[in-house]
Amino acid sequence: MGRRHRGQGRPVQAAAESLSAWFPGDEGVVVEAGGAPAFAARLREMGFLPGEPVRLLRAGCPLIVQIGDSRLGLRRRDAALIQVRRASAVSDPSKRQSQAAA
Amino acid sequence: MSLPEPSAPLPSARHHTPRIVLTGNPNTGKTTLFNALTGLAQRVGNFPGVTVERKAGRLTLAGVGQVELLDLPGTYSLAACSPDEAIAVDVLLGHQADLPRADAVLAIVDATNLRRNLYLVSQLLETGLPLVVALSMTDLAAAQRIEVDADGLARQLGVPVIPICAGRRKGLEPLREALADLLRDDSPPPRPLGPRYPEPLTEGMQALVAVGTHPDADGRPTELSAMEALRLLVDEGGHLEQQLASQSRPELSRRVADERIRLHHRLDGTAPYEVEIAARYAWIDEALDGRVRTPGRLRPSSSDRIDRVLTDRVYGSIVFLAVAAVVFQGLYSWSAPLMEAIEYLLNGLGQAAVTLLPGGSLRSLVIDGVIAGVGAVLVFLPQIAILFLCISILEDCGYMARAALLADRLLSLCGLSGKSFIPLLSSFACGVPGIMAARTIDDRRDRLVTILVAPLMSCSARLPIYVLFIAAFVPARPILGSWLSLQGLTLLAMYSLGLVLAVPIAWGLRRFLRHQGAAPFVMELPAYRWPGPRTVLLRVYQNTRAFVVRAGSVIMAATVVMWALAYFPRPDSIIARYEQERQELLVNCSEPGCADGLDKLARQESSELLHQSVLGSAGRLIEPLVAPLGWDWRIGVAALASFPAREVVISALGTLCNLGTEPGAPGTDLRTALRQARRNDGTPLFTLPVALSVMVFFALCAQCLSTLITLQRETGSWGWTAFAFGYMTALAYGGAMVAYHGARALGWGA
Repeated sequence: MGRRHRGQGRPVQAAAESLSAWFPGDEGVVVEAGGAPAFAARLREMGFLPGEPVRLLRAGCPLIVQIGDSRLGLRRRDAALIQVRRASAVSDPSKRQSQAAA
Repeated sequence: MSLPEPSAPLPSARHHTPRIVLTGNPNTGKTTLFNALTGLAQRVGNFPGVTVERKAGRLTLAGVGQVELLDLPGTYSLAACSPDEAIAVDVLLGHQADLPRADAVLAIVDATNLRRNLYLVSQLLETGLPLVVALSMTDLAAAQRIEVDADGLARQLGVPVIPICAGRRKGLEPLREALADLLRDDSPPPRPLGPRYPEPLTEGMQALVAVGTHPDADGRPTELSAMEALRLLVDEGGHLEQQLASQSRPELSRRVADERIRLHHRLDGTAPYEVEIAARYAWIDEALDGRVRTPGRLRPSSSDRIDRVLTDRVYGSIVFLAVAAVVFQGLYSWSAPLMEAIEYLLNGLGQAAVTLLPGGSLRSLVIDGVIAGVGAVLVFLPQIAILFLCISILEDCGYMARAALLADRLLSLCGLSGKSFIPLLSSFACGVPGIMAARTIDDRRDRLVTILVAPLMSCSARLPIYVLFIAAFVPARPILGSWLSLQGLTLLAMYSLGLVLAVPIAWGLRRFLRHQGAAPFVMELPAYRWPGPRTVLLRVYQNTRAFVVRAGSVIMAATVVMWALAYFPRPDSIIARYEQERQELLVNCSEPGCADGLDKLARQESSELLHQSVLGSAGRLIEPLVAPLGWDWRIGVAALASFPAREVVISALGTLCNLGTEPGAPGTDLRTALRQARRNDGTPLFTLPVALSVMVFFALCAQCLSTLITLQRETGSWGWTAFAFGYMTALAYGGAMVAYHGARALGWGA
């Protein structure tokens, strides 16, 4: 777990969070694909590897993420088991705040 | 040529055609490569679950001769989860009973997605089979400024890595050379440079290999490969373990159990599969380090922009419904002129037969059996072609995957997942490929449920039945202005019937079956692309040809048998009696009223002959059974006769009604024949309620031998097949009864 910095726009270590908490457009890296063994193994085989760049394209159910160069559709409750970390926590603070407010 | 050694089967000792197995992740251009290498045009689906069948082709390699190339279903990993992947594993390990072990493996790897694709390659190296890697999508990679050092990668992996672009036929020559080199090579395959595992795992694997030596298909002792040993150790309850349990190799089974326990102790809490996955990715990262350069940032694609609309919950659903509506309405209007042309041709043939052939059983066979029967089915070819065309276009352009994603929401309501979407949708074209497509469903319970409700989806064989009866008995009244007609609406209702009923049935079946564990639903969305006209048209041609061949063989045979059963026995006494009555009538009357009298006589004669024929006797037996549905014995018999293939009901009714009306007027089109058909008391045989009950019966019944046989093969159980047949027949019977009495109560068609 890293600490959040304000301003500057330097890439920082954000907290690891669940993929289902992201908004469309958020991007970062995969921390871990959790859940039952078969599930985690399957996710990893499909590309959810630790350190792999990931971006959320569609929230809701089903979720659509861009992982590497593939686009994968997932159910929301399955996505909740995937831990991710935002790449740049302060890329656009105003957008984040307005999204949070929505 | 050296003598074969007992432990390492050498290529030079091979006396069969060398076999190469083609494998790789889905959506990597595997099928395009297969086509390019073998020259056979095959189905190109950019959606997992479409290429399910095993496909084999031949190619010629310099210095080797003819080689067989086998295309395996796309798989992400050899830790087989779905039956699809299990097949791939079996073929690679030589466990498929009818296939000896492959001589080489050609793995196709997507250059834009190397990290994930190399996962499978790391497993393939562990099988010990000679391997060539084809690096595909190089054009896409270049467009995204991804640089891959193929030679460096080849050195690192220890296998040839050939960049190709299958769609543009680039790199195929070097690929062929690499394959030829591999097959010509007499030396034993090099040790695989695969992932390095921690000691606990490797020791367990070695222990298993030591006891795992067994005779292969040719009777020579072969070692358990590293890959098999690893899978047995790590995949608890997996495919290979289940296979092992069904073979009698008690020492190995015991050892597997022992080693697993030891492994758990030594790993002290970490699951073995996690250790394996971590080791593999460490190996992958090491392999790619310095040999792949990527821009780093995730780049959006044009597909993403399109998806923003098409996967939107509101707009996406609207688009899907619009697409479905276009397809259905088009099925009706676009094919009309073609259908009329075919009908015209058939009428002409009938007239020719009347003039050319002498009266008697041969002429009756040709007209009422062959032409009436088969022709009535061929007339619907345009509609079936259009249906296949629409489905092919949607698949090829990539929209199907999005539709499956949207459908996941709805499908999860009856407990299934979006993965059931393609099997169920394909069943709208034909139940056989639809049921086979269910192989990609990981969850065993979901798979069984999908297979059991797939036949409820109104397949293309039911379409002629609907169209015929709707055209004959449903008034062509426009609804909502001229946008939709009552006929189109009825067609839509028939299609929806099976779909709507499938929901509670699927839900109920799922509750009834034991829960086997929830598999994750992960669906890959391929990039949108313009559908290739050549591929689409080829697929339409292949599918319609299959339909025609069915009409040609099964239905032809069934129709002729039906005709014979309806024609014979033909007692001369009855014919003589009616001839006498005809003469009497002609003598006694000379007014216009005579024609009606002759008509009536002819009808009575046909009816009586039919009544005492073999078919008629059978029909009379079951008449009380079908009376509640508003049917008479002829419809009942036609339903019985259509057991091998539903379309036969049309030709059966054609035969029965043609024979039962004016035998001297051939080529009366079926619609008219149906309208004119009369019961014994002179009332029309078919009214709107009766037509509806027939349509509902065929919408829900399991009248298709091919589908039932496929069902048995895919479920491996006659019990489930019998259950499917039973529940659908009961449903069809009940539904037909409700339709008939309901329509009468509502006063429709009165």
